[in-house]
Formats: sequence, C-alpha cells, structure tokens
Amino acid sequence: MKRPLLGLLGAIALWGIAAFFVDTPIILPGPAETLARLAIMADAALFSSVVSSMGKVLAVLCIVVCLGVGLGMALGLSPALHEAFRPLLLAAQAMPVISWLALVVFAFGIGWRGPVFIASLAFLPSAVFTTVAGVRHFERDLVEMADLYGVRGVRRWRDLYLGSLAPFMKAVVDTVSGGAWKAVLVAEYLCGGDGLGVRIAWARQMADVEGVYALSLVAVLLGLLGEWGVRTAIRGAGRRWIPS
Amino acid sequence: MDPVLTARNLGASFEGEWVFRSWDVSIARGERIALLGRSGCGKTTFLRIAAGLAVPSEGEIRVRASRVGYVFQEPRLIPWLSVRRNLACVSDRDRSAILAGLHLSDAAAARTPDLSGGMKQRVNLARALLTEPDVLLLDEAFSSLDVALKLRLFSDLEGLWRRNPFASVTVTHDPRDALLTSDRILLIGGAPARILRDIPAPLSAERSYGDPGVVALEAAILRELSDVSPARQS
Repeated sequence: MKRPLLGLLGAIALWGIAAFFVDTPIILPGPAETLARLAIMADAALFSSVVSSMGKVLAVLCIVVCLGVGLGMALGLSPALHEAFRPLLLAAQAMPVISWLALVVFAFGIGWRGPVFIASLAFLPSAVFTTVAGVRHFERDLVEMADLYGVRGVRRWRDLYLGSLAPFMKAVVDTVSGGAWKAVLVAEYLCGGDGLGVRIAWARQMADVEGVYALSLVAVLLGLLGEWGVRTAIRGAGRRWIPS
Repeated sequence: MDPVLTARNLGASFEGEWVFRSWDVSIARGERIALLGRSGCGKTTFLRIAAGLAVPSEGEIRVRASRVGYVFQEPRLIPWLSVRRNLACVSDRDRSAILAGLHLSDAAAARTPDLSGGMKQRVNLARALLTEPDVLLLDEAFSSLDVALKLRLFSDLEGLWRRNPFASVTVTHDPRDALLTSDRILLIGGAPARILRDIPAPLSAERSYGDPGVVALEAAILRELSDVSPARQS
C-alpha cells in the first residue's frame, strides 16, 4: 500500500509542476484549486454518487465472476459448446463499448442497468476464456487418481476442480477489479442515471474543469483503494487453494 | 480360494505394436506378487488395466475386489490440500492409524509441496491403504527412494499386510525390491513381452537385504534377466 501511495503523491507533484508551467486553469487546474473545488463539492449527493458507482462495480464483479466462471467451466468441459460460443465471445470481446450504447439506451434507457451491462460485457469474454484455460489445465494425473478412488460430486469439485481453478479465478477477479471501476464510470458517463461518471459528465457540460478534475481525483483514489481491497481479500481466500 | 485377479491371454498394443501378449495371471486373496522386467515391457500397462484405467487390446481380466488401491509411481497428491485432506478426499475412514503406521502423524497438517519425496510416497501409500483395498497395485512405488527409506517402507507395508492381508502386485525392475515385497515373482521379457517365469519366493517373513535366501534368489533372477532379450523401450 505504501508504494501506490508514494506513486500517487509523485503523480500529484508532477501534476502541480505541469499546472504551474501550463498556467491555464481552464485546461489544467493545479492540485490546490482542484482540492478546493472538491471541498465545495463534497456533500451527501457526492457520497450517494460514489455509493451508486461502487454498487455497480460490485454487481459487475459478481456477474463476471459467477457467469464467467460458470460459462468458462461449461465451455472448458465441452469442446462442442466451446466451438459454438467462441465466435460470439470473440465478437463481444472485440466490440468497443461505444457500440453497445445505442442498444443499451434502447433496451434499458438511462439508469443503472446500462452501465452494469456494458461493463460486464467488457470483462465477460476474458473471464470465460481464462476459466476455459483453467479447466484445460486440470491435471490429468489428478483427475485419473480421483476416478480411481471414486472421488465424485461435491468432494471432487471442492477438493480437485476448485483448487485447480483457483489461480485462474484469482486472475479473473484481479482483471475485473482493476478495470471494472473505470468501465463503470465510462458507461455511467455515456448512459448512467446516477454515479460518479454522471457527475463528471455534468461537470464537463457546465465547463467546470476544476470539478472534472476533482471528481476524477476521487475516482482515481477510490479505484486504487477498491483494487487494493479486492486483492487483499482474494489473497486471503486464495491461500487455501493456491500452492505456494 | 477364489483368485482376486485373473487375466487370460491378456495383451496390449500401442500405435499398432504389441507391448505384451498372452499374459495369464492369477492372484489369490492375500497373495503378493511382483512383476519384474525391463522398462517398457508393459508392467505399468498391466496395472492400469487391472485398475480399470486402461482397456486391454486382447484377452480379458477379472478383478473380484470391491476396493483397489493404487500406489502411483509419482505420488499424485493434490498440492493445495494438506496430507490429512488428501487422505480425506478418497475416504471418510479414520486416518489416524494409517498415518501412525506410516510415521506420518506429525505431517498430517502439512501441505504436500512441503514434504520430502519419501514422505510424499508414504502419503501415496497411505492413501491407497486407507481404502482398505482387497488388491493393492504398486507401480514402481519404491524406485525413487533411498535404501534406508525403502527398507522402512517395506517393513511398514509388511506390518500392515499382516494386520489385513491384501493381495498386491508390485511392479519393479529391481529383483531385490521384488523379493522383499512379494511371495511370487513373474519374470517378464521378450518383445512383445511375455511372462517368462513364475518364480516362487518362499522366504521368511523377516526377509531382509542380507538374508542368504534373498541373495541366492536375486542371483538366480539376475542370471535369468541377463538371458532375456531386451524388451521394447516405451
């Protein structure tokens, strides 16, 4: 946690130096002006927006992990299913976020569902492919041992498959926790009803440059904090299965 | 007494070439045999067929056992589980006696990557014995162990067999290992490999490396092995 904080402080220092030389607050306000604007903006409404965005990120994390790992297991165990779904997943992976916008606005309107849908789709294909790789990584020798001793059902999944998949599931959570925050904010910016991304969009429309920077600063800090929190949590949970 | 394992005219081929053919094997309940031959003569393939992990290319095999234990050549332990949970994974039976019998009680909570090679192999053996097998299949289970540990394991195995006489098939290319673990030795050789000799090894229960009977039989077996044409290497 110390190194990211030092990095952040370094970035703020660089930002201050750049703002000093640019000397045009409408393009690049300095850290002091930005923090002053943030102090004015910090109210219950901002807190509510932050909570709304974090809730969406949590929803994305749950959807991607559950659906991605579930679908990945099914596709990994069935080559036929994998062949059938692979083109669809590759297309979804290649599709830019903006392309989903029209569909999402028509389907869900402006609100929380659009950002959750867009951000989930952004990470679902890679979660599925990572899990497929994990399933294919099952050690045949261990599977044969389990067959020989009749290890089946819940015990087989808990003791053998989950342990084998753990490093891959960790990679999925790592990837999603690192990118979902950004993806949700962009999606909120485009089609959200509430949240930090919506607040940034409003500030931009009002030409409130210091406000955009202040909200972006909040987004960066919360993004780093969230990623650290998730990594810490999965490190603890993963210790049970991931061999050192 | 009904044999626990019967193979008739058993054969296995790989990529169109016969590895072994015409094997007739019969093992009585509680009998311990060894398959002795060079690498690649089909010993492990026979064990895999007996365990139901592979199918023969010809002939038939009948295993009249409700439980088959298999001590793999490489331990095949689940690396993210402790010793205790590796055993619990295959059976709900009480593990303490087996762990104590194989001197593993102190390592029960250890994760398997932290164990030495010899301890891993003992866990491998404990897992097979925990199922209280009617037939125990040992695939080169002692080949990677040092002599002291090997002798200790032989002794442990002998003690466990005395308490619960299971049939066993030990696959090895070391005549001395075969003599110290078995009552009968099937000498394998030729290409495709066949059972050349069925050698009784009526040695005392306390057989050991220095036992004159073991030394004499080993010398005889080595002479026979040197006469056998090399089997195909797998």
